[in-house]
Amino acid sequence: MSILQVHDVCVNLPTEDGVVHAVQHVSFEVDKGEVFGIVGESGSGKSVLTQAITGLMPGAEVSGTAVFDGMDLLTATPKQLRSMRGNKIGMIFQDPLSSLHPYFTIGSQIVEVIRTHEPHTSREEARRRAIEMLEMVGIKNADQRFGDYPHQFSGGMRQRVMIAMALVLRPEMIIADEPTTALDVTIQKQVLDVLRDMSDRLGTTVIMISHDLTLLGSFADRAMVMYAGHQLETGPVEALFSRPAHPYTLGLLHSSPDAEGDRKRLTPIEGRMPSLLDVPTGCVFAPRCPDATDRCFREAPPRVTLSDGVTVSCWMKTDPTPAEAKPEIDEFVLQRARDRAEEAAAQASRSGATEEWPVDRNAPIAVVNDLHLTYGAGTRNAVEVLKGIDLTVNRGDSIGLVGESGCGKTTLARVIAGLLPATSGKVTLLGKDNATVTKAEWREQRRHVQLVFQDPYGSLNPRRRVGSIIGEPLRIQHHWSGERLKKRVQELMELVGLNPEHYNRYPGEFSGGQRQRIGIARALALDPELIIFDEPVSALDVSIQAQILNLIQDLQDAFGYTYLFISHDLAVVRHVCSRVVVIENGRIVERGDTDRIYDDPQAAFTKRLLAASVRAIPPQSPATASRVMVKEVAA
Amino acid sequence: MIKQVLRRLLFAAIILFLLSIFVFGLFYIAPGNPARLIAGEKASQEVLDQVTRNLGLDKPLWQQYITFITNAFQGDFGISYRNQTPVTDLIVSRLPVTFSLVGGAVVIWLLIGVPLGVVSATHPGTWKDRLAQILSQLFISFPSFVLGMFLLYMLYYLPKRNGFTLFPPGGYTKLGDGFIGWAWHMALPWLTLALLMAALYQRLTRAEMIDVLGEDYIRTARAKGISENRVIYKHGLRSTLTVLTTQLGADIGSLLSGSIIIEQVFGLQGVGALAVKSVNTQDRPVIIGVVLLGGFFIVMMNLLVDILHVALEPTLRR
Repeated sequence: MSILQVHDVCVNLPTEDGVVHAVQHVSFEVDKGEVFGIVGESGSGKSVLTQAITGLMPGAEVSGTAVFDGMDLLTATPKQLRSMRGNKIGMIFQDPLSSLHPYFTIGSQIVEVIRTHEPHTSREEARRRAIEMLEMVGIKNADQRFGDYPHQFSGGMRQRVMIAMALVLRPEMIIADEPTTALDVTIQKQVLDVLRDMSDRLGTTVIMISHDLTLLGSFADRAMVMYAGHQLETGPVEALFSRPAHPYTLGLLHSSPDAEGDRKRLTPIEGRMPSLLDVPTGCVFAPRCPDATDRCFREAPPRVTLSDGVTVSCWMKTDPTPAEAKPEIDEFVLQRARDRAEEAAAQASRSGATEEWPVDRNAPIAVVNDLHLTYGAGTRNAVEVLKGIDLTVNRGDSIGLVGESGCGKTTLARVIAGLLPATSGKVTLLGKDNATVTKAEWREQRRHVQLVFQDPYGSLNPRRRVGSIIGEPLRIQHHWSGERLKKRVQELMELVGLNPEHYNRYPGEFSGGQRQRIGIARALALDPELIIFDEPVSALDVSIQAQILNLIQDLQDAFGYTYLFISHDLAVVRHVCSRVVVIENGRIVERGDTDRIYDDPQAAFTKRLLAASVRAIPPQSPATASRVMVKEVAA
Repeated sequence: MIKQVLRRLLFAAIILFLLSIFVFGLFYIAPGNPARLIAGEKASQEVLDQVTRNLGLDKPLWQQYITFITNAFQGDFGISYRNQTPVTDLIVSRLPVTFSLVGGAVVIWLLIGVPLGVVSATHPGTWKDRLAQILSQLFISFPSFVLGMFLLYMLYYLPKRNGFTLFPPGGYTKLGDGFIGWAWHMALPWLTLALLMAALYQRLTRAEMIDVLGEDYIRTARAKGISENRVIYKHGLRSTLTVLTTQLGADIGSLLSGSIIIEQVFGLQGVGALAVKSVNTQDRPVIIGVVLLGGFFIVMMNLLVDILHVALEPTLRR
């Protein structure tokens, strides 16, 4: 029996630039007690859809019907909707810190839900019920923690509080909007287990929104794939994984780092999502689809149901061919870059000019001996972040530093780069001891060590042109200017897959993936000895993430760069790195060749990390001949 | 917590001490001989010397300062050159007027400014928001004496010409002599000050509230199904209190050291009027006293704000 029937819902958001067609003609049903997943990349309309039907999008123009429990939510009065929210429909959001009010105790925030919908409940009774619920979701000493504020809880515990708040009135359905995205992998698993357990015990229907198809694979019963506001494929998750009927679903599976067990290249989806202001006629996915025909661009495909219950909107209907993984760097561009590097080297040897600071080509890039780092050393609030790290980075290595947030992996990278002084221990970078370098040598080090940061939005100055951002290291270190600088910057832009004609644009005009390419181009500008990537893809969508990972790999294959790659995600590291170092609480708990770590982890922490992050994906099977179209749902 | 407060108090004392040195030094550098001022233009050299000795002006500056600061610690800021009254008594006699003016105005401007800001923030871009924005722009651009004169004309002069007294043009009656009379006399100065400040608070509340209403926890509050009023006034306004109290502390602190123009317009004999008079007559002890009092108020209000923040923000508690 279905609890929620959504039929032909469209959501338009009027903005200053025009109307954003956030959701278009989406229809689905959710059965009582099931876990229904909605998957899509950012901008796919998955959050807008659920917020619009629960009345949390005041400015939106919504059409269609969404019948919940016999009532159409889209024609309900605000008052009726209010009496539904929190009472019959619970909600959990992505970031548990910003989603809980920082100035009220968690207890009072839960009690507020009870007393809003059941005003006759006494304070004591409401308190008792809140504590009981907190205990159910696994908050220890709930009685004492009732009066604590959100900041006194860890991320995972906060999300448990959110779950308790959403479930305290035993709603028939909860909507979980990326409930684990902001959490560490091991915590993610715990939170998902709590959610699943609660749903089983209380018989609650769960709508789970995620950008991560593989996560839904192990959690949801059925799922809907959304793209650019359109519903592309809906069906049981086993079917989506084993016989993806839509090329986009297949693309998502191939670009997910979990997908390939070996260190094969990822297959990204080329291009990016169309603007929702001006949606193309025909299939929305056609511009990125490897199988697209003329018809796909001209006419929107009908929604059809296949014999195994999968609904899909595609002219092909059954058996999409996987896309080819193309090299990220153009062969011509690559050859030119190689020639330039050789020429520069030849010129240097011809002129006989010795470098100001020659780098020993045979020595390791960085050697770390018994490194300790304590923040606020000597004070009462001293925190020991790194507790005796030994590490050698050889030329041509690509080392993955893996650990949970707060384990010290970023701090370690910053110490190696010479940006933070060590408290004790020795760090030798390019043959010089970091503790004793002179100012001039330190400047020289900056030329040989480059960083690429996590947040492609925050790490580029929005008021400077891209050409000036990429060219800055050249201006500072080599005092280049004019045509020479411009030519080199445009070469770099081509190398990382940016259009060199966009030299004069601002970062705001680029998408997240392109911005990360800008960051990589900036890092490459000085031909560095070592490039440190600090979570370079964690802020990007899956299909874009695969493009950037492939680019990073291609660059190393072509030029033999040395990488230090920081990530919380073992699956990502596996694709880029040859060696992996696992860090827990400031100590290295395990190190070794990537394959060895994945096949035969020794440390308990590594095992836990692997269990939590690498998800089993059902093998893909060719579409069965028996699967045929059974009915056409909508044109 | 107590330790923090003590540390801040010590800090406040140091600031006031530095301020006193600065002001004292400034008058030593400044031209003009106070002895001549007191003795008069035509006084003989003997009389002048006598006055200089009486005032202690013949001693080295550091000795004068030590005498001053020692006395100041006992609450004695010297004696006014002009009318031979102790500075402390002079200032204390002016304080009720200034306190009345600021205290009343604070209540009014908060009651006007904050709700208008909330209305603006919850209806951005609508006529309500536009109207509130235009009004606040208008009052921000008014010089205070123009607004004061305008209110005097509209609410005192016009009714007076038509034969009845709506509000008095100024003056001050003690609160002890009756609340009604006190409030009636203070009404126009209050309104002038309050309208100017309300405009600032409308903008501040609006900006802050728009930020807060975009927070994830506001969405959570709506997702709980609580009423929109409760979302705005309980969950939303609660988060703006930190910013509002910071601004309020700074404003009250500086207004207590004298709202000179408004006191002038309405003929109120408050601290501001005293400051003006003593500067005009080069009455050094009084000027120093007023400056130090101003510094004291500002430092104390800031301390109070810091303590309030700890009470308001659980994240700051240890």
